[in-house]
Amino acid sequence: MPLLEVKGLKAYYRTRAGEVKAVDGVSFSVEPKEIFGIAGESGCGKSTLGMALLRLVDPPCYVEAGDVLFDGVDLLELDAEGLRTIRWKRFSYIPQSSMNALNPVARIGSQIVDAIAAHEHLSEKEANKRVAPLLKGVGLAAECADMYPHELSGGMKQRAIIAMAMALGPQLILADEPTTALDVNVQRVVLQALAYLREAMGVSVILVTHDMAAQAEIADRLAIMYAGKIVEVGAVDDVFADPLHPYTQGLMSAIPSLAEKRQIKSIPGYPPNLLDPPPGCRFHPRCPVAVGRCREEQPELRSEARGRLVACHLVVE
Amino acid sequence: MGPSKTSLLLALRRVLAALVEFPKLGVGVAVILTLIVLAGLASVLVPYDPTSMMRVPPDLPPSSQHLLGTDTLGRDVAAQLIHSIRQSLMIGAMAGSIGTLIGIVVGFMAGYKGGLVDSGLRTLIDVFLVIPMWPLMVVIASYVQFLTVPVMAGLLAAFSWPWPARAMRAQVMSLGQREFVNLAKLTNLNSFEIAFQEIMPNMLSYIGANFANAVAGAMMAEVGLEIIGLGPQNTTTLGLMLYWAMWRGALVRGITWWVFPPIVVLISVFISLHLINMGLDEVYNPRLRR
Amino acid sequence: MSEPALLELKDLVKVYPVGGIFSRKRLRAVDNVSFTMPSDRATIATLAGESGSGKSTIARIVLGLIKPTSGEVRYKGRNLAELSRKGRLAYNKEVGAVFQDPYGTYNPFYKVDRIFSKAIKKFKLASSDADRDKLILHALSNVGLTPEEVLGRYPHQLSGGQRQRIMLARALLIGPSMIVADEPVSMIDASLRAGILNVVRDLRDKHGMSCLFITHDLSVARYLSDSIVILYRGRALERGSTDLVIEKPAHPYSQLLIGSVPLPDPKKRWKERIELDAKDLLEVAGPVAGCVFYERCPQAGEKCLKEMPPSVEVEHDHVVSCHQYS
Repeated sequence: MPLLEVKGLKAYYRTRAGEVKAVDGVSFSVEPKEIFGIAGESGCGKSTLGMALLRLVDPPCYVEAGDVLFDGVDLLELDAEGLRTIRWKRFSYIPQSSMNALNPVARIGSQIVDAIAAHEHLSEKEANKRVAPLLKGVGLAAECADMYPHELSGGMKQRAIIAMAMALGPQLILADEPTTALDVNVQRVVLQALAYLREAMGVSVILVTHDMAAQAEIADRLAIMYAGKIVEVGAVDDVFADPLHPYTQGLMSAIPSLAEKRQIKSIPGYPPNLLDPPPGCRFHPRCPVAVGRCREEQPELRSEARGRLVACHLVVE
Repeated sequence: MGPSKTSLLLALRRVLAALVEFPKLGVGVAVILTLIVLAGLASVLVPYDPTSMMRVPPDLPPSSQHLLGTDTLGRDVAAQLIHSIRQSLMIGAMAGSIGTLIGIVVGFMAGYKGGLVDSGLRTLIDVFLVIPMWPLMVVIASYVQFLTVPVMAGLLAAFSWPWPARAMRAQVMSLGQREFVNLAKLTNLNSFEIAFQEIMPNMLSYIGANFANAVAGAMMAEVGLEIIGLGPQNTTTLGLMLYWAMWRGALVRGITWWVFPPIVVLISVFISLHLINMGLDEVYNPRLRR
Repeated sequence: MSEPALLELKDLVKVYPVGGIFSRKRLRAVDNVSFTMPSDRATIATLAGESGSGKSTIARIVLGLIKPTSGEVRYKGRNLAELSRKGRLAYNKEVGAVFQDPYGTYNPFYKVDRIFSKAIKKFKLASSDADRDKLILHALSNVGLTPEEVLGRYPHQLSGGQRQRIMLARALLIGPSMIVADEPVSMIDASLRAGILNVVRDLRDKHGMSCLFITHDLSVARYLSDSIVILYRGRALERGSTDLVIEKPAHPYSQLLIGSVPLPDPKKRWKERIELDAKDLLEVAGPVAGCVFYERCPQAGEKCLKEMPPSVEVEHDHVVSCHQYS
């Protein structure tokens, strides 16, 4: 049974100008012990999706519809108490730019202890014992527990955050853009730390990032998101080798590779305004192969062969 | 007629929209504008000299004939009040304008140029800030032969420029770090052009807030001088009304209608200037908004 | 005597004081960097490095926004430090700039048209309004923008990609011999970068403009540039033709860097898990006598700690600063 199953999730921002359909009917599932990537440009709704999964959205953003089944339990229906037992303990979250959210006047070790104490009834001594192995798991020396955030570099802070997210031994972690603003070497260490969580501790990770190369390095399965909808899902090898959706194909041709010199080009046009998205398929104004049907009917996410899901009229007939 | 009229209307609509969106600003502006209108109509509403004594029976409480009663020297209080508002606001506005203007020049030079110019100007500002302002003004005012409205305004301006200068300097220094200033340098704009074309337009609401503050400060100092009698001798101001009222023991004798009106007006002026200051601060710094 | 190089940096040094008033610590942001850009053909030269490598500082020194502590910057043979005020104004016309932040480079008070009109006015590029409009139209079309979609708008009404293209259009309009582009695409979405990178390529191929390109993204460097300099903590560790340096990196740091770049190909994943020390990336102030990479180098030896490594040419157009090769 999948660890996480999302069905028809909708999260809208209610503004004076209208409803911004940031997440508009998203469905996917995450298995135990896998790294599930969600990729897309900025504005596609992936960050809102992450927050909506954990009910962290604040007004003017509201979850309008859908189910989020974590191990069979619908997170959206739980009461506050029930949500607390799952959030952070079994399903934790690393938000964007979270390394800037560390308390500047507290040592790293005590911040981890605080995170533990907020969710479990442990004595301080017991909680402290967990700190060293957590830090080791993300590749930080045990001395880091006694340091303040300003004494650590960006990459070390990010890994400290990962350690905090792991503090209660969750089964699933959602990491939102964990490698932005980090140097190449440090990005590698952080991504490898996440991969290690899956390898050695059997934790599943939802990796939300626009960096396709990062997805290629550690994700097992990959979902491509565009304008609030998922347009393609599949095993990462398949999606890269044989992208089916025109948007995915466009993305693949737009990124340069260190390994080979090939021509790259941007997808023409700009992502749509989610207040008033185009009718039919949201990608049709920029799609090189759009036909009449694309302008009128929204394509459904349907199964193709080999476990692939695509939302395109021209692919699945 | 077309384009200029529509753009003026558009600008007006935008200003009104801003006043509604920032209620502090809106209320403050409304109150001050009312007072200004009243002050502007002073010569129309009161076409005679309100300070000439014994024109009317003294110490009369408010009635339909004398809306705010009369004072011990036989003068209609309401008539005085309207003229006093005009004079006080004029002094405050003049002092605040001159002070803010000097503050802008000094602040921009110090903030943008930096180096020795900045060090020198900063020391000058600090010296002025450290001098006890009010006692010095009392001394100077009591030595001046003819204290008129412009002279008072000048005196107050001389002491009200350091605060805006300091504030402007800090903002100019901060804005000067922005990348568009670097681009302007590379586009061969000189220091003046950068200071006034690039930096200043981004500080307009901040300058406005400082101006409101300067006016409030000037008026506070003005009242402080007048209430001990150091005011323009040829006219009446809010502070002077209080001076005369105290001199004649109005409060002790129960002639409250002579004392309270100027106080109420002064409080409204200060509160509304303060509201304008806070409101413009909100406009300038989006993080302060609710 | 051949023509002087387009841009020549010689032993460039920039030192910043750090800490309080009484601190003696210094940060060597740029530590004896030298390289050249030829004048006989248009090239794109990349300064590559992580944060703290000094690449942005070098860019700003070349643009004249920062003064170097020592060393020379020569543009077409003339020393930048010796330029008169008039010379400096002329220099700004010959060397254009594109910055990293598509938000900060615009003055939010004005419409984006001012970017063009100010440049045209200050550099005296057009004698009439009609000429001016033609210039703007021409520049915009070269970067793939139409006047209708950008003119008359305020910066916040345009996307980051559009804003960067406008900056490139402005650079094109001024008609410099060289552009300094400081991480122009790092704040743009990955899928929109290609368009902007292709504009930079066109500047070289179609308009004969050279470009000094600053980036931390080696994939972008590979795509665009002819030559590359790998910087680490202010020092140039390796330089040469981009293809050679990336395909056969000689310096251990380059090898580490290139090996750590994620490839958009799931079949080619990283093999080992690299371990970085607890103190791996904290800054160490003060000049380093030996090799600046000593603390992290897996192949470091005694000599590396004491002596600064010499520059050795491992093959034509490929130079490395490492004791291994001397």
